[in-house]
Amino acid sequence: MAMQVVFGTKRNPLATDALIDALQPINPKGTLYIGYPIVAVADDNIFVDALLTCEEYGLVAFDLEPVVHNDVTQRQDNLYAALLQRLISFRPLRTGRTLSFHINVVTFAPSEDDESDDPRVVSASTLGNFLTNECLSISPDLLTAIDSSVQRVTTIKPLRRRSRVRRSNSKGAALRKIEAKIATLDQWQKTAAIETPEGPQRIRGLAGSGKTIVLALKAAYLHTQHPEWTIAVTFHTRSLYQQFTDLITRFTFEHIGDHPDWKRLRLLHTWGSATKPGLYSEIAIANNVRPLAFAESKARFGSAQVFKGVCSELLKELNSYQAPAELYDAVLIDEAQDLPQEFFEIIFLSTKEPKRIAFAYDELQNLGSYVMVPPDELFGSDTAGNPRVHDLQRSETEARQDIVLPVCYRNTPWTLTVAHALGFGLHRNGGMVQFFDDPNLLLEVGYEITSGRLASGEQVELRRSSSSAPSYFDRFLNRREIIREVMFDTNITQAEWVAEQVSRNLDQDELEHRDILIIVTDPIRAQKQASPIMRALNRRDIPSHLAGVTSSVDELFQEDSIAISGIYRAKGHEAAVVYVVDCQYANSNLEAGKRRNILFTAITRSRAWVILCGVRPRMQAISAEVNTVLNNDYRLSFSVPTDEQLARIRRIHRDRSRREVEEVIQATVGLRQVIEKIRRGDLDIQNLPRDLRDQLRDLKDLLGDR
Amino acid sequence: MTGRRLRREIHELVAVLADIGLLVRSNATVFVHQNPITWITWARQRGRGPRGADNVSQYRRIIRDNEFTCLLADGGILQISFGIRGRDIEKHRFVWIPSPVQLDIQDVQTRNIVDLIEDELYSASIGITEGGRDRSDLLLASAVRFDYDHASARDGHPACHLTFNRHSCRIPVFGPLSLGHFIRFVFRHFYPTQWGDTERLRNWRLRFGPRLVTRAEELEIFLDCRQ
Repeated sequence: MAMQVVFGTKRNPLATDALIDALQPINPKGTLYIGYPIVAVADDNIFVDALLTCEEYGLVAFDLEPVVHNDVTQRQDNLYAALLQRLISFRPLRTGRTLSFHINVVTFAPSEDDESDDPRVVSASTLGNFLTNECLSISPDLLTAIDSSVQRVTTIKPLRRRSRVRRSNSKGAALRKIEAKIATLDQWQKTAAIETPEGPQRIRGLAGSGKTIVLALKAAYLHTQHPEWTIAVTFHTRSLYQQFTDLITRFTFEHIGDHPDWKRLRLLHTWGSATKPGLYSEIAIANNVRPLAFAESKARFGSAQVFKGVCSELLKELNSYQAPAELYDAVLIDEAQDLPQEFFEIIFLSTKEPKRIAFAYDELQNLGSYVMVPPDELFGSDTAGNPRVHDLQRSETEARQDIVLPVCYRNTPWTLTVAHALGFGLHRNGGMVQFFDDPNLLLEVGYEITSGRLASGEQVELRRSSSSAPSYFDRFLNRREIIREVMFDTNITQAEWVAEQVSRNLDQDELEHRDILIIVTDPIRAQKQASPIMRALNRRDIPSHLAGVTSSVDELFQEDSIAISGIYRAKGHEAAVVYVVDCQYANSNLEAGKRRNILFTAITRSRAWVILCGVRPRMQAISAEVNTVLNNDYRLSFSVPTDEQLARIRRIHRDRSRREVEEVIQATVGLRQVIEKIRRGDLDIQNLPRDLRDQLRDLKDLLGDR
Repeated sequence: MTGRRLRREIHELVAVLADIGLLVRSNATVFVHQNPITWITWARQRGRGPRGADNVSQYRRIIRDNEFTCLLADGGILQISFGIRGRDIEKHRFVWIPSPVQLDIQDVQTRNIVDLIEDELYSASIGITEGGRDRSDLLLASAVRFDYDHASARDGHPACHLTFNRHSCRIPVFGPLSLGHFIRFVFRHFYPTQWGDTERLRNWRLRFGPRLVTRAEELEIFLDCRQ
C-alpha cells in the first residue's frame, strides 16, 4: 500500500508539492495529512502544514514556513507543544504518564539554499536520512490509535458495557469484540472528510459507509479552519438532527476544545417547520419570498411531491432575479437521494463562488420518489443553456470532487449482497426492477468480478471484495448463520415465531433489548403489521414499543423494551439483529422499485444478523431470490441489462405518484372485468371493432411464454 | 391483580389500538419503584410524570418528550399508570388528552406527527387571528382524568374521582376503576366509529374493587357503575 496523501489546506503550495515529491520515493506506509489537523492551544489555533503518520517513522510534523526569520526553533517548539497536548489526552497513546512515542518535528525547506545548520531543517535530499536516523518506528496498533486521534474520531462510539455477556461464544460476546475496535477512517473516508475542493463534491457510498460521520467531520474541520465562514449542513430525515449535533460538537471539541459557533455553522433541516427554520425557509426569506408551509403546499402540489413543488416555486423566483442572495460559503447535504433536483439548483444559486457544495447519497436508499440525476443536470443550466456544473474531477494532486466510499462498516458483506440482490431484483422472476445506470458503479462500491464481464448484455458473477469490508466480520461472525429467510402460513404464526426468537436472543444469545429491531414493511399498514407481534411479545412478558412509522428526531430504542418500527422511522438507525416482517410486501408489480428499496433499507439496518420473514404465498418468490444468493455462496450471478432493457425497466418500474398507481389499479380491475365478460359470453370477442381485435392479437405477442 | 398482569393488560390495549390503525407511537409499560409503591407506568417518565395537560403548551411538551403510553392517530394521548403495593392497587391515574387540532389521517401516515401538529397549530393560530380560513381551527377540549388514591381521600377530595376542565373538578367515582372501565368509557364516548367496529374494545373485561364512594358524596352528582 502506497502512502496516501489527504489534501486539507495547502498553505504553502510550492513547499507542499515539493514535500510530497520528496516523500514519494521513500513511500512510507501511512498517511500524509496536508493542512490538517488544527490544534488549539490556549486562545490560538496552530496550523499543521503537513503531518505524516506511518509505521516506519511514527509521527512526523512538517513545518513548511520559509526559513527567513530565524525562529525555526520557536515554531517547532510551539508545534511540538500543541501536538503533545492534543495527543496525550487520548489514553491508548500513553504509557504511564507519557506518550508511547516521539513527536518528531522538522522544518522542510525545498531547496538546498534555504538550509540552515540546524539539523532540524531538512531539504529534499536530506529528508530520507532524517527519517531513517531520527524517527523511530511504531507498532501497527499504535499507528491505529494515533490515526484515530489525528482524525478526531476517538469519541465516536462510547463502549456499551454488555453486562449480560457470560459465555465467550454467544452473539453478545461476538458483538462485544466487534465494538471494542478503535475507530479510524479508511482511506476513502479520510479523503471525503478532509478534502474540500473549490467546487461541488459528490460523495457516494453504501448505506453504513459512514457518510454522516464524514460530513460531520468535514463540517467541524471547515468550521475550525474558517470560523468566519457561513456553513450550512442539511438533511431530510429529522432523526439526523440529533446525530449531527452530537457528532459535530464532538469533532469540533477534538479540534479546538470548544463548542461550534452554531450561528456560523448552521444545522438545518431541508424544509424546516413552523417553529424551526430550515434551509429552504432561510433562503426564501433572504430573497424576500414568503416560505410556504406544509398545510397550504399539500393542497397545491399533492402530498407525494410537496417539497418538489415548493422548491420549484422558489426556484422560479430566484431564476427571475438578477442576483439571488448568496448566503453560504459552503453547504453540506446528506441523503441527497431524497431531495428534488430543484433543491440543488436553489442551493447552487445561494452559495458563494466557488460553490463548495458537498452532497452525499446512497443510490439504492431512495425511499421517496426522486431519482438522483447526474451532476450536469443536478445543478441546472445557466441562461445560455449550459450546465452549471460539468464533470467532477478526480485528480491525484488536488482535493477530489467525486468520491465513492466502498467499505461498508455497518452491514456484513453477506447481508449487503443479499440486500443488493433483492433491491435490484436480480433473480426476480420477471426480470430486474432497477439497476445502476452505469454497471461499473458496482465495482466502485466494493464488488469484484469472479467470472464473466460487466458489460451490456453479458453474463457476470460478482461478490464483495475482501477489502470492501472490515476484517472483524469474518473473524467474529459466521456467514452461514448471518441471514435467513422464513416463510409462514399466517401473520399470526409469523408473529409467534418472531417473539420466540426474540425471547431466545435476550436469553441464550445474551443480547440486550436495544440490539434488536423489528421492522414492518408496509408504511400504510405498519400498525396492523405490528399488532400481532406486540401481542406475541406481550404473552411472553417482553415489553415492546411502537417507535413510530414516520421519521423522528427521537431515540428509536428504549431500555428494556423491543423497538418495532416502520421503515422511515428506522432510517439512519441500526441494530445488531433485525427482523424484517412481511417481506412479501416487496413481491409486487406495483411500486416494485419503491418496495424493494424498503426491503433494501430494512436489511441494511443490521450490524450483524438479519431474519427475513414473510407470509405465503407471496413470500415464496422472495425466499427463492434469497436462496439463490445463499446457494451461490453470496455471489451475484446475472445478465447485465442492455440499454434497451434498462430503458424498459425504468419505464415499467419507475416510482409513480399515488394517483398514477390508482389509475393503473383501476385499469387492471377494468381489464379483469372485460375478460370475465368475454368468458361468460356477455361480450362476444368476435363482435368487437376490428381495430380492437387487431390490437388484442398484437398484445398476445407481448405476453411471451406462460 | 399482580403488576405483571396489569402490565400485560396495558400492552394488550396498545396492540389492539395498533390493530385498528389508531396507534402512532407507544412506550413500553415498565415498573418504577418508589418505595413503598411500585408504579406501573410508561417508560421514560421522569419522576411521577405530568398530570395530563391543562393547556396546549403542556400538550406540545408531552408529545415532544414522548410522555405517554400511546399517541393516537388523531393526536390524542393516553397516559395509563397504576401504583401497587404487593398485590394491592393503591393508586391509578388514567388520562385521555384530546388533540387541540384536527388531523388528516393521510398526513399522519406520511409525516412526523410532532411536526404535523406543530404545523397545524401554527396554521390554526394564524387562521383564528386573521380569520377567513375554512379549515384548521383549534379545538376546545379538556383532558379527561380518572384518579384513584386511597391515601389522600378526605372531605371534598374523593378517593376516586373524575377531573376535567379544572383541577378543582373532582366528581366522585364509585370506586377504583379497572383498565376496562377506562377503555370502554373513552372509546364509547370519544371514538364512536372505532367503538362500533371493534368488539374487542366493547367487551374488555371489567374488574371491580371496593366501593369507596361515601354516603355524602352519593348525595351530589357522582359516577356509578353497576356490576
